[in-house]
Amino acid sequence: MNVANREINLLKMKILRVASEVREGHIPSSFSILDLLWNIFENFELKVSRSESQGAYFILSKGHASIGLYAILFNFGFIDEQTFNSYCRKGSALGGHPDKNKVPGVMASTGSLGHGFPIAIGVAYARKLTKVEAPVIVLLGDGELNEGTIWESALLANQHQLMNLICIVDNNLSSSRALKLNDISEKFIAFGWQSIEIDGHNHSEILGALKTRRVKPLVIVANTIKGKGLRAMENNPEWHHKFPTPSQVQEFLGELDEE
Amino acid sequence: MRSSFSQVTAKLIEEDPRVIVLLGDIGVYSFNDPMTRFPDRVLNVGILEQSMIGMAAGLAMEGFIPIIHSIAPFLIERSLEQIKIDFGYQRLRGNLVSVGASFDYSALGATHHAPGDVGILLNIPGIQIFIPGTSKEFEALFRNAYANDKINYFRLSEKENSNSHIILPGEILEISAGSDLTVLAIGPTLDAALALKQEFDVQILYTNSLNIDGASPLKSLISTPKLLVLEPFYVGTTAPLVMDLSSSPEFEVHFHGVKREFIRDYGSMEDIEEQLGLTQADLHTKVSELLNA
Repeated sequence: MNVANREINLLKMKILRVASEVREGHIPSSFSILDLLWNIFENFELKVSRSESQGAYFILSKGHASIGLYAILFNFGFIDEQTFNSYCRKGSALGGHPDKNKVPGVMASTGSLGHGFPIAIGVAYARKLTKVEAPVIVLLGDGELNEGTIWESALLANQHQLMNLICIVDNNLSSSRALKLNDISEKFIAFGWQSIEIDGHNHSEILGALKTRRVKPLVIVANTIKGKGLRAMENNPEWHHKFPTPSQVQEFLGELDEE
Repeated sequence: MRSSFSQVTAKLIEEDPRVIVLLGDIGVYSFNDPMTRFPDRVLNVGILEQSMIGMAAGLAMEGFIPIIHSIAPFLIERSLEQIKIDFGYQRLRGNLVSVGASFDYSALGATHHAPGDVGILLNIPGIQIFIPGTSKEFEALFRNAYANDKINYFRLSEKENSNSHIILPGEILEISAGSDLTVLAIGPTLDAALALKQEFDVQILYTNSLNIDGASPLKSLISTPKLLVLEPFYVGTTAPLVMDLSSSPEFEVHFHGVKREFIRDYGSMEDIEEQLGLTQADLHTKVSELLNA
């Protein structure tokens, strides 16, 4: 197992322990994006606060996966372990949805779906005007693509030729039980975007996609597995906002440890 | 007031490089000149109010000062959650400027009416609401507040008072003394209040901004046993702002504003006012009743 996979596996174990103890968090939604987040944070110098205006900008539009983002923020030194362990407890800066005014590295307060993407459009437009080159990266869930603001904003990105914008769709098939999306790439292409479809757990594919030369706003459709790494959770909607019992936690930790 | 808005904004774009104007495909002609001169900072964004507000929040995060414009129901009611979260919760600054106050588009039907805008926005902690009574007042309020650190709402109306009163946000001005009843006129209702003086001994107070967070000077200004609030929006909208007055048993608080019902008819603004009981004669009757009660 390489360094990335080992780190991500350890983060999954941390998420499991902390979320199960406090009985809060969306575990499978977080597991589906960890490979994506790890590569974003490993490969871009990210803006942490207003004072560092040049860094890349990351917005987690699917805010319910906040514990996944916090784990990555811990892994890359934005927050300490004690802070991570305080997740969703009284007095903690880390809530079930991220707050930009409390957590270093959280650039937008999200949670209501369909908000982070229009905000990213505004940031990308501002940076186009001020000639900041680092990209604005926004991560959406496929379920979030049901929201009208996503398609409004897809039009805006094309209208203003926001070549500094990278939109990643965590396509973990959450939407399949509600609203069919059919071909996500085709839809974005029809809205004037360039699209790359990848395996969202394959690190060389993720990195390749992030480094793609952009001639239009770029969407990366990352096909992922919700609950990736735990057989019981993988693609099982029952676990969306459910917490394992102490014995299940031990079983799951064992499963992750085997890898 | 609309032309005053485009004129002041055109000047601000020139003076302040942080200003960026987002139009929801409304009022575009009046921005032709600045749009040609500053095409990057005066945008006809399109008819997508929710994303327009979200985009504006992203611009604010990067240090710009957004001025966002559309018709009240689309700007406020359609994108309420974006105003609440993207601006309110995130503590970002920005300026929402609406036209079509209450039923200014009297012949266009309920889709274009928004007498509920101010009441809805009062649910957003930290918001500053401006209801200018004249174009001049708008200009003073806008210049004073556009770059503050709040989310501001400016409600432009067709109706204007005869005289302007330049006051600070949250300030209440005593326009004239009286002893039987106090009338608090909000924004463009002041002329109607002043007309009462011909017949009644009323004290007239005036304000053109609402702020639920600050302490209000209202209580200390009232010199009569009864208060009547003239509201250019749904009747009772300002009840939360005068709650501490109405809780006192010896003091009466009444409201006069737009009835809470859908306006299903068309016609001029005067036609609708007549239908809703908002003519000057209706106000006189209301005051007579309050004084004889």
